[in-house]
Amino acid sequence: MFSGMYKVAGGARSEQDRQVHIARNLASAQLPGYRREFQAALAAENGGKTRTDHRSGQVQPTGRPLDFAINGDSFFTVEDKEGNQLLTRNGRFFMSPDRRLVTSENLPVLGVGGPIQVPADIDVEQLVLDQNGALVAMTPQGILPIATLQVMTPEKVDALQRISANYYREGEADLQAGDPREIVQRSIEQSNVSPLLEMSSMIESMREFETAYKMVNMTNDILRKQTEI
Amino acid sequence: MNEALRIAASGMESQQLLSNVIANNMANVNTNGYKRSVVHFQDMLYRTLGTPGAPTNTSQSPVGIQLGTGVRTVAVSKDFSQGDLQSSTADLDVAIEGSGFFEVALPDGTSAFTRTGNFHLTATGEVVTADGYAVIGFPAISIQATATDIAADGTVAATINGVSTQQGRISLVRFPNPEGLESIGRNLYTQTEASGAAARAMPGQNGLGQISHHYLEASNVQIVNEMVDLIAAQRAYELISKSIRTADEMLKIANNMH
Repeated sequence: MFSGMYKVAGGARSEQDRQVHIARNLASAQLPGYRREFQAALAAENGGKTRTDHRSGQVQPTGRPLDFAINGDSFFTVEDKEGNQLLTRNGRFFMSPDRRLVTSENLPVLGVGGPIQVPADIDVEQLVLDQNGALVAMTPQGILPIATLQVMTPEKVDALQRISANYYREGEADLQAGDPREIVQRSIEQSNVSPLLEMSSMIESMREFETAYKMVNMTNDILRKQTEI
Repeated sequence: MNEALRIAASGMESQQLLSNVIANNMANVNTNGYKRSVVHFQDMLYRTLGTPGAPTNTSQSPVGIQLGTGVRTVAVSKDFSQGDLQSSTADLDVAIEGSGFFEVALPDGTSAFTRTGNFHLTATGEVVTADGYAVIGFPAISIQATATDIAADGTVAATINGVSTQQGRISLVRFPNPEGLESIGRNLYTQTEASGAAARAMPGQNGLGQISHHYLEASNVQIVNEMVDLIAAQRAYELISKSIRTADEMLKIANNMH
């Protein structure tokens, strides 16, 4: 008798988690490269776990020289404060005061040989990608190679360990070197959040939650009746 | 559940700031030399990535990055793309076609930089901005001049008693990373570590733009784009607020359990 009550209460609890995912998706809808998270159905494999929808967002041209997007399944690589490699699809980069390419969280962006350092006399406007996807500077004196942005393709994208809205750890995903020619400059990948989808799951989840609580109340009523006998 | 409320609140706050920035851009659609502001969002980390008191680039983080889950606005930078050139009749109206800035001397002795080229002449022949700040790198013009001509390469010629005489040449400055300039209002910017050091050169040289005399650079705000962004920000705000309402409703149901 009691177990039935705990079952429905557990269902209600998972609907609350679902609301957290929806709130996060809606709040992050304007983060470049953000990928929506959702809760896998309880019956499915890894049921109830948080999953990431790894479909690519639309690539939108911005004209900003330090905006990059990837046309493919690769990820940009950055280094966190402990020196670990993290993956991200957010290619909105900035120039730090010490002339390194960094993310908005101030994490250095990794090139093929380590963090990308831009010489002090190079203008941001001069940076372009050549036909091999390498970042070069078009100076009046000629073309100066800077670095190649390191992109990695996970063999098993679903095995990536998500550590924040836009950062992933390798986990069991088995990273392979990606193709830098897939990088596009002066563009940004929009998040893949669909407001329509989020709204409908918000309403659905809310109603399921309501139903679950009605069932708790009903079970409770039955128990009360039984104790009155 | 409280987490959903907090995340939604962070999202609403970001959309609010985005709307403010868009409103400011729209208000400056007719301000000469105005550069539109762009909002950048930062990821808020779900789990501990920073510890309280850890030194960040500019300061020490007062709290650890552990609780935050949502988005926050990290920076508002300027988009220094070229604005349209509008013709004008004033003799000291100049626009830069391409990259570069005019340097102006602030009253405290430091320098600021601007793209707004509606200059004026003082009684002593000095060229100043509309606010009265002296323009560095702009040659003084004889007050007897009846007309002023400025060539694309910055050469200034004044007509005195019907004879055209050269007064000197305008020089401009450029920055390796203009996005890193600090906006101090009135279309003035100051140099920071992020912008890099100012490099002075003549117009048309070293990647600098050329001078267009009798033109002013209009604001680079595209009103249609701003309108679309504003609508998107408003709708996003609305959507996120629905998420708060839903979370609230669910708490209400839970409270009514009997």
